[in-house]
Amino acid sequence: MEPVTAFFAIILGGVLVGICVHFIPASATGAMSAATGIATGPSMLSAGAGMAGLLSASYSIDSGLSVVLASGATASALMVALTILSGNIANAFGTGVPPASGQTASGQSITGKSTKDAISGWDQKPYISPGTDGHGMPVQTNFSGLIGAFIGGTGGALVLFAVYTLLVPILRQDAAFTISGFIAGGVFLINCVLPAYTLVGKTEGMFDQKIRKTPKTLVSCFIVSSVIAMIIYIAAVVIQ
Amino acid sequence: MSTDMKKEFTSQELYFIALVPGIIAILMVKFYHPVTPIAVILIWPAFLSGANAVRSVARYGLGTGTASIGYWGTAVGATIAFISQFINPAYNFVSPYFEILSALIVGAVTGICAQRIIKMKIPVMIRDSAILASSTAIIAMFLLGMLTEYSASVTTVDAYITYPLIYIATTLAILHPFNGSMGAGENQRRTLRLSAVEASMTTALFGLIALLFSEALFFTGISVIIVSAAGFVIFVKRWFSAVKEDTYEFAWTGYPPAEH
Repeated sequence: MEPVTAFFAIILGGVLVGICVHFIPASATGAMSAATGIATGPSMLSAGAGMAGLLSASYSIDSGLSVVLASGATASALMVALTILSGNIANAFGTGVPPASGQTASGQSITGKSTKDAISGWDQKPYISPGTDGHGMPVQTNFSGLIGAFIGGTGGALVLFAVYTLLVPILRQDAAFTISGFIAGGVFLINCVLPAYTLVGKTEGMFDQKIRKTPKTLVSCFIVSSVIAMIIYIAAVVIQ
Repeated sequence: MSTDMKKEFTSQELYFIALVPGIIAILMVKFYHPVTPIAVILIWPAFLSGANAVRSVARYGLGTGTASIGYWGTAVGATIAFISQFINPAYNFVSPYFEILSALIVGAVTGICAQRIIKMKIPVMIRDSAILASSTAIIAMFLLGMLTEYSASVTTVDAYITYPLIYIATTLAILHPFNGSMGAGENQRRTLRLSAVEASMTTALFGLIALLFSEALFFTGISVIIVSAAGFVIFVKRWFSAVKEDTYEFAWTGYPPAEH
């Protein structure tokens, strides 16, 4: 990868990371089964998925870009899938509530006034506990989380590969490898907090009305990632 | 609350107190490593500045949680400090100014995006994002400098195995003071005193890391641990007296048990 291509890859990776946060269902009040989504803040959950992706991608760093991207994406998706599965088990057998989308049940999701799950077709309304905004992760939310993690894992792996490409000519391979991993992790954390500002701590994923705010995230992450990419480029290429 | 009526430090005041000694501390460890134990004292204000920036922003209700803003701030500062490690040593004279300025710019740009594009209604967002990112860059640069000894050929690039620890330790020292003090009656005095406690704990930890990292850093590690431990004792006493004062005032805000 050419240095200039790596520069644009860092920006693209950062933007993908930002977008992924909108797709991963998360809600702090989910811890009390009072809202749909995994029981944590969106940014922290996305960061966790991203780290899993980076860890996996780093194992295949010598296998070329496509393998690195695939490795990062699948590891992130696997992490989110397992988290959703564990969350649903805890909800069903621990709290005693079935997975149900609060927004869909109230006819306020992106799919319109339908109260049915967009993928399974199951009606959500009868399963909502009174006084809550849903609980657990129903099929459509699970699907959205997988897509989000796939996007985020790809973005993180892209940043890792791009930074590694820039560092390999100027550092020892072990140092380049580790430093690029941490820089990719840093870019991930920087970009996944910005979207969380638009989500205000809760999202049901791509069927949530907040998905309409994605363009704001896209622009913000593009600007911030461009500045970060420029600093990395200056340090690795210009001041050498 | 008598403590609330006391004048608070502004973010700019604390940042200035952090910036000047912080740069002096980094230059001290870069150019004359034996003075590291003295430089450690000069880096503590950077922790206070970072913790105050977290407090300042998180008080408005971010929607992401105090932990997230701490992770974000350190992500900017530490990432830029790590990026600077692969700059050609011939351009060493630009450090630490390049890192601190870059962190300020990235922090301010993120704040501008949050304020103008995402439309967050937090008036201090731009200023405190920049201060938070820059304070963490100062801390990360110092810790990296502390773990190196150029006369013994231990360079900053060799310290890459400590990056995760630098990242997590700095993050916790920055985000926890406000997170640990928040709730009714939270005030800047108590939060900053807790921040000083955690600053001394963090530098003590890195003194231990220096001991384990290289034989060339043995005396640096020992002396940093002693200075940090002394600071820890002083700060814990000050913080605990503030906790006792505030708790005393709070004990009589409710009904005594006998009146129930």
